Amino acid sequence: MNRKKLLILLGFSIIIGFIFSSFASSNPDGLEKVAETHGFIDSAVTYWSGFMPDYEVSGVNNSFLSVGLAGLFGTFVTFLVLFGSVYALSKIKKG
Amino acid sequence: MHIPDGFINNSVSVPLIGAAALSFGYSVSKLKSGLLKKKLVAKKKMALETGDLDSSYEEKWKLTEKGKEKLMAIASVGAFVFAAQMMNFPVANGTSGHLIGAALAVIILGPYAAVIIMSLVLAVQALFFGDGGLVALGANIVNMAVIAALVSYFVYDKIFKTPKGLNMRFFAAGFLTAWISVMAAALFCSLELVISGHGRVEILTSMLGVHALIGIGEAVITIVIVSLFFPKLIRN
Repeated sequence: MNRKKLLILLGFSIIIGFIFSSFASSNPDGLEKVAETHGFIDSAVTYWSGFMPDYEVSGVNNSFLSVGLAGLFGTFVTFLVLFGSVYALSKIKKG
Repeated sequence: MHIPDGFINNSVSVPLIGAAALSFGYSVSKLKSGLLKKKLVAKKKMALETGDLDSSYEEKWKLTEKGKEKLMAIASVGAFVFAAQMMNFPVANGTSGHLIGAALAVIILGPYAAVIIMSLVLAVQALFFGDGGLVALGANIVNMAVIAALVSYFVYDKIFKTPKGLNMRFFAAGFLTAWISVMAAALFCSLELVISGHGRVEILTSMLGVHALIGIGEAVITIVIVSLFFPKLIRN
């Protein structure tokens, strides 16, 4: 019973990541707004912008797909990273 | 609340990397002991086939049934937290907020799994999407994975004594746990900004003010998700 619900949750997450992510609010988030208001937003520095900066896949012209693919990828990667590392943890002999 | 690089001083962010690593390591060891039990596995079938009565057994760590369920739950909750964090929702005055997710992870899976989930979500976000700084990753983990989870655990398990049914006590506990977790994370984030010299009282009031609203979103999402998917919590 729980296994089925977990799969539904995963499926739901994939739908959110792929489809709904494009409809997220583009307003600055709480921290960014505080930084803008109090004048330190420009002190932000980017050492590493990631492979898909701002959750957009470069080279994809369609903005819905650009964000959607980033969301899909990220949701999957997160699942795999967590599954893989906790599974690996379970295989290590010494506690 | 993902802090980019450049907002906080190295004297703040670098020690927080250490704190994040320690917290993560501790949570890993505590989670491991909850997942596994020793199981005796026949070392060689041949030992039995040759009639060797002294058939040797090897001790191995095996996932319990509960452990397998927990593994799937950790990965699925993590996937949800990642996806949900992309869904910024508008709050007053041209601002937006998003779910943190530590509270719901704690309620469903307990504090150690929650720390691991939140830390890895933040790491994926920083490494793949540049969401949150690299040097600032420690601070982000401390704020949103450690403090938020710790406070959630304290409120949900210590103050409310881990409500398990879908009753009024659960709804009140879930709501407050989620809201307080956001405020705690915002408080720590504010302190990091204050120590880095961006202001004092005004930073605190701005951050706590906007996150008081964002926290309501967190509370609603937390209650809905836990009610829909996890009426029976997957705890140790």
